[in-house]
Amino acid sequence: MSIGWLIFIAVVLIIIVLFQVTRTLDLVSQLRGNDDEREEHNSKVNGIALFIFMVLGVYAYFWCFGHFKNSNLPPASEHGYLIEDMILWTLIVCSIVFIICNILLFTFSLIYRYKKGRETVHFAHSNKLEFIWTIIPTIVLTGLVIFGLQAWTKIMSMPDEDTFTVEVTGQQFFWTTRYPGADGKLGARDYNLICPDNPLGIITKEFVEHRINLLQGNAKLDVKGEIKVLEERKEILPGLIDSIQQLIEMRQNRYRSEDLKDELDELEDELDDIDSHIITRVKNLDRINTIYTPEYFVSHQDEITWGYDDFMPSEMHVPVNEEVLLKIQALDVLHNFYIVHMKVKMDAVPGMPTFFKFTPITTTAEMREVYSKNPLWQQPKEGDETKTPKWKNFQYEIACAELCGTGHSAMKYILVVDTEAEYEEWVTTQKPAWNNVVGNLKIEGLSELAPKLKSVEPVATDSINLVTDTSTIASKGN
Amino acid sequence: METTVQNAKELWNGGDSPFKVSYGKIMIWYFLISDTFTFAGLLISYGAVRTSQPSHKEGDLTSWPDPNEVFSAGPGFHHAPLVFVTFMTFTLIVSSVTMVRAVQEGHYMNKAGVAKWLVWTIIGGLIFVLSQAWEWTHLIHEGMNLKSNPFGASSFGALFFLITGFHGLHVSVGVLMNTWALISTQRGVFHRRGHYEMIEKLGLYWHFVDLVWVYVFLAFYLL
Amino acid sequence: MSLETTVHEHQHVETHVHGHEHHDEHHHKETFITKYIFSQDHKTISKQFLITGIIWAVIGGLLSVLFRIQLGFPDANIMWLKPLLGKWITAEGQLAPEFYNALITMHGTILVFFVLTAGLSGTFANYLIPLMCGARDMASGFLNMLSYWFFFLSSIVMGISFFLATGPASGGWTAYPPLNDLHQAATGSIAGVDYWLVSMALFIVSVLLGGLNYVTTVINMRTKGMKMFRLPLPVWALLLTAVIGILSFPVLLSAAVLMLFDRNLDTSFYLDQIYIGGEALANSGGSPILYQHLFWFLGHPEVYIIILPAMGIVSEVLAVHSRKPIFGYTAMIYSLLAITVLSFIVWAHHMFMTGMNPFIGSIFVIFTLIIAVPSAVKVFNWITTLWKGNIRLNPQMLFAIGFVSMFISGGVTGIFLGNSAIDVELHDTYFIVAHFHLVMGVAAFFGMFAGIYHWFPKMFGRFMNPTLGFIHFWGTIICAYLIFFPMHFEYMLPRRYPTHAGFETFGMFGELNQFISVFAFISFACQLIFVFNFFYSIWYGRKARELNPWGATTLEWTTPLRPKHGNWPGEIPEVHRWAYDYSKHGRDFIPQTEPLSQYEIEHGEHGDEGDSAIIQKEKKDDH
Repeated sequence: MSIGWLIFIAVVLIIIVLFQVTRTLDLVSQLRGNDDEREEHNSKVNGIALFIFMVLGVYAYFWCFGHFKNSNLPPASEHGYLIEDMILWTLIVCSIVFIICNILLFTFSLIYRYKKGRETVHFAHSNKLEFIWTIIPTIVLTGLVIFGLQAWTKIMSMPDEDTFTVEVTGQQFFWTTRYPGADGKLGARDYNLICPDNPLGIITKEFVEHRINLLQGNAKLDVKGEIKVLEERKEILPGLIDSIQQLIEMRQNRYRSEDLKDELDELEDELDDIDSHIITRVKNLDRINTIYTPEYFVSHQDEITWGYDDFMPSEMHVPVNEEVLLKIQALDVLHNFYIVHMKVKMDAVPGMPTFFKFTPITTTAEMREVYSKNPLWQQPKEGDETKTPKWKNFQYEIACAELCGTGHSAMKYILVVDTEAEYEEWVTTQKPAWNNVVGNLKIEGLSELAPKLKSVEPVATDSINLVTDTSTIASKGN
Repeated sequence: METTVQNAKELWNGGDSPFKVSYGKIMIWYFLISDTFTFAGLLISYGAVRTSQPSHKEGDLTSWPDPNEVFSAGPGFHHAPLVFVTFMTFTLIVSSVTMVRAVQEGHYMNKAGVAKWLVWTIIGGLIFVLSQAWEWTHLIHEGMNLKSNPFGASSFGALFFLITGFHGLHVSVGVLMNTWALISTQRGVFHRRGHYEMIEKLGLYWHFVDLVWVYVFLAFYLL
Repeated sequence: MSLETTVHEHQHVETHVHGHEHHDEHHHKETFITKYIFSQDHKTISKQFLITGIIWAVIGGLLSVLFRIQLGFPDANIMWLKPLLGKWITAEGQLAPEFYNALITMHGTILVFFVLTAGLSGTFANYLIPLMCGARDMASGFLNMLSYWFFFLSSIVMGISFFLATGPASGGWTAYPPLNDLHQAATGSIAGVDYWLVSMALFIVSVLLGGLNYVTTVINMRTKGMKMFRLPLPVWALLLTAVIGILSFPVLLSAAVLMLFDRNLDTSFYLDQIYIGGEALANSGGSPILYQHLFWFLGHPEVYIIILPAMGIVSEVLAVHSRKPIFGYTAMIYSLLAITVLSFIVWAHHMFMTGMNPFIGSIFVIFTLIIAVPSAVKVFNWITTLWKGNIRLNPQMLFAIGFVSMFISGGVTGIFLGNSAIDVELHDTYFIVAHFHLVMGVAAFFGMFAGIYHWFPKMFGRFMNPTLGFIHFWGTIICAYLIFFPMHFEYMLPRRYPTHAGFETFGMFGELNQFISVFAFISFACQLIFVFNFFYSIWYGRKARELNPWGATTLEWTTPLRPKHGNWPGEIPEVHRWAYDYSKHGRDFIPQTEPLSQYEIEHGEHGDEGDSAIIQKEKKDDH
């Protein structure tokens, strides 16, 4: 027994008591007095209650705006103000309608509550009135539509081609951003090439080779290959299942074998699915082989070099007052890239890039200033030993706003809005993603297109043969 | 209410059916409208998937296949594009005509006539369903299934089997219901009832299935 | 059903006339099974829908209590629920996040489809259409019965999915792919979604069978003199609801079939270039957006399927209990028609943020805001109906007034959301949760409650306890406003988060969430009062002794206290006037069955002629 059940029982008891009392009251009132009197009494009590409810409600309505003003978001982007204005105007219009209608509704209920013999009017319709209240909403709504669509077109218009572009990718359950690097161009991507060392599937000659080797294995590099590993696993699974089944049979007490049964279930599921995993990988390999023919590397010889200098930072940085175009993608399921303060929100759809542009106008530092005056941000964070007020560590937060599974609420990412100078400095500290992974690649050598890096030179010299190899393939294609 | 001529407005006054038809016929009409939306949903999905794929390009297996290439065989012959499906379509349309005749005979209360034309309709429907079965088998042998398609984009196979299958299901249900109507006709059920309205309702359904085929045919065989 | 004993005992009417040929065979011998289980009587079917709906409402409400515990008290130890929920409670006594998703998914599905579609329009369409049109039964009693049993099957399938080892569907009530399409994307997608889809398919069959019957009955089986423009508003609303259902649900069927294929036969209608669980899938060529279009082509009309019956019921209750004709009867019908038509061309306003072409978006903005006009007209007409009335503030009337208030409050926020520019900020946040709960959740429930309190004496021959009704009303309306009004201020908080703790920006709503949760619990308790009152009153409520306890004009009150199958013992009454002659000619009400008097002009026949002119004429005649 715990507090929860006690509450539950208490509620049930209260309901029973309530019922007994009301039943008695009802019986008493039925015995005494006539129907009309009862009706009048009920109507009076409820009419007054409705009116009080309305008065308190209207008061609470305005009270809420004061009470919650500190949790409002100060907009930090250019179009944010546009939206803010729209919301303000709509709020004014809607508040007027909301308050007047509710006042009329509840006041009429009080004034015209049941009284025996009250004169009522057979007032069935009036073309004039109906015309008025068709036309007024129409005009008001037309106004809102016009303002709304102006703002919408402004927010959604495609920016110039040379706009600073950041690519955003959502997957279960995190965000990755990719910046174009020194050449100003984002490397092409292919989901077929995705692997731990190439999480976005950037297309370069090396990544293609690496992925092929990972899938089909390469004896020279001592790589077994995912397909081979799965096939071997498939071989041993039936044996494992048998042995566990024997263990279960040997146990006398069937309740003791629960853990074993779970393990057995898991293995059986694995065996059921293993064929489809093998097929998926074989097909993946087929697609890679079909797409990345030698001709491909020739006809795309520029594109396949753009990816080398792309960098993928752990936080997103943008310079203030400069328009940013977000190219939003998803790998697995739908996500939604939601930068709370920037009023940026756009679905990430697998197989279909989406776009959203915004101009941040408040740097992170400036926003900290703003929040330093906000009472809600004065407390230190829970568990913070240093007792620093929250506003000092304020960061723009990015969330996911489209249900994407178990970790939906964990897709937090940080946006930092820098001044121009800070941003330039930050960019120089960013190393291309390529630099970190080139050492791990299962390839026989780098192509001549790959940038020469001091740290990996030994690898490069090690495999000069292959460089010439691939270049011959490329020239054959010509 | 009986023989007085009523204008359209009065018909809506209640106590009488405004379209001068029984509830059953109204119901079947509404059902057909509703079913139209089901097919529309599927055909719109077809359109959406199709337009997102490259249109036909010789030799490119990711592009949309050429129907002349896919549907070029029939029982006992090859390399005759669309001949077999033309035959199927023709049969279905003819079966619609025979259905019209059955309905007509029903109006004359001619039991034998209804039965005769129903038999022809059922035969037409059966030929269509069997032809479709043959075509499916043939395409499956060729390697087309829900996941892959040797002629081009794999979604073609999935959409083809789904939509023609859904239509084929409608035809099969139609054949079954027609057979049931035939048995009832022979037993004189409708004759005793004094009208052959059931045949009319089945006729509406049958024409609808025929009409839908035109769109399915257009989507997969012509475009 | 177990109503057998009471209903049996109190059959007052012995005589019974067989009205329609096609009912004859079912009347001779009625066993328990044909009478209460596989009954073809629309009244019994309606009660079946209602009681099943109430059971599902309690389940759906309970689910919301569970996730409100999580939202309001994220740190609370709920180990005490372990016996009930088993492994969905983690070892630390917390709600497992995947179970949270399953809870919100099932809460939405159950409330939207099982309670507010089947429970609301299934109940009242079945009950009111034949009675108010003056028909012995639905056009086809058999299809009508099938409609209920398909719904029953559908709810059984959905019920079973709760007991799956991997849990019920957990990808949101909209079941967007790829999350719901790929088994590996979520625990609920392993098997739960298949059950969800099958259940939906069965449900669609149920809606279609019901809908065909409702439309046909209204068109073909009205009694003599019952012109379309004499029909009471609930019948109009239910007719149009059925039309919407017939046209929109098939599209969901197509969408569901495509998804079943994707899930089980490895097609790729909704899948393209997906990398999940460490592998690049072979599926290509589909589009997840396609599903959204198909879904919302149903999904948006669906919200009108939910709210139109409530609007109809409220119009009737407001008129009866303020003893006044509904104001602007014709305008009410035309606004219903306008809403029906417009409901089909606004679906993409759910998809402004999916990367849809912004130009298409702007067209949907225009249609969406146009739909506010007929809604506004209805609200003004309801308010004017109260003006200078003689308002009996009994539970049904309070709920009707509450409906109007909820509809206003939830409706105005729709104007924010319909504007795509504002939707950038509000999409998928608690603002929209507040909006739709007020406007189609609570409001539709209020309509349903108004209907139940109002027609209960006709349904069961007894009254519900009004004092409990008052407590129910006040508890519900206060809680509803306290839950959903402040929720609007969480306009930046993304929905479907079991916890917002990871985000500093969302950290200031802990207290508010607690506040909302507490009132959600109280609100649920208030609904239990209603459930108790409902079942108790079926057997032990105060007996109805008058045929027409509320003094209503419509036909259902001309039937015997406990009408048998066939509704009227003698001939079906003929109708001579519209349904809203209240307080006319100094009379409290004139039933529809009473012929027009000599100088009386029927409403709507001769333009705008007011009541006073007629009275004067009559007075002249007297002299």
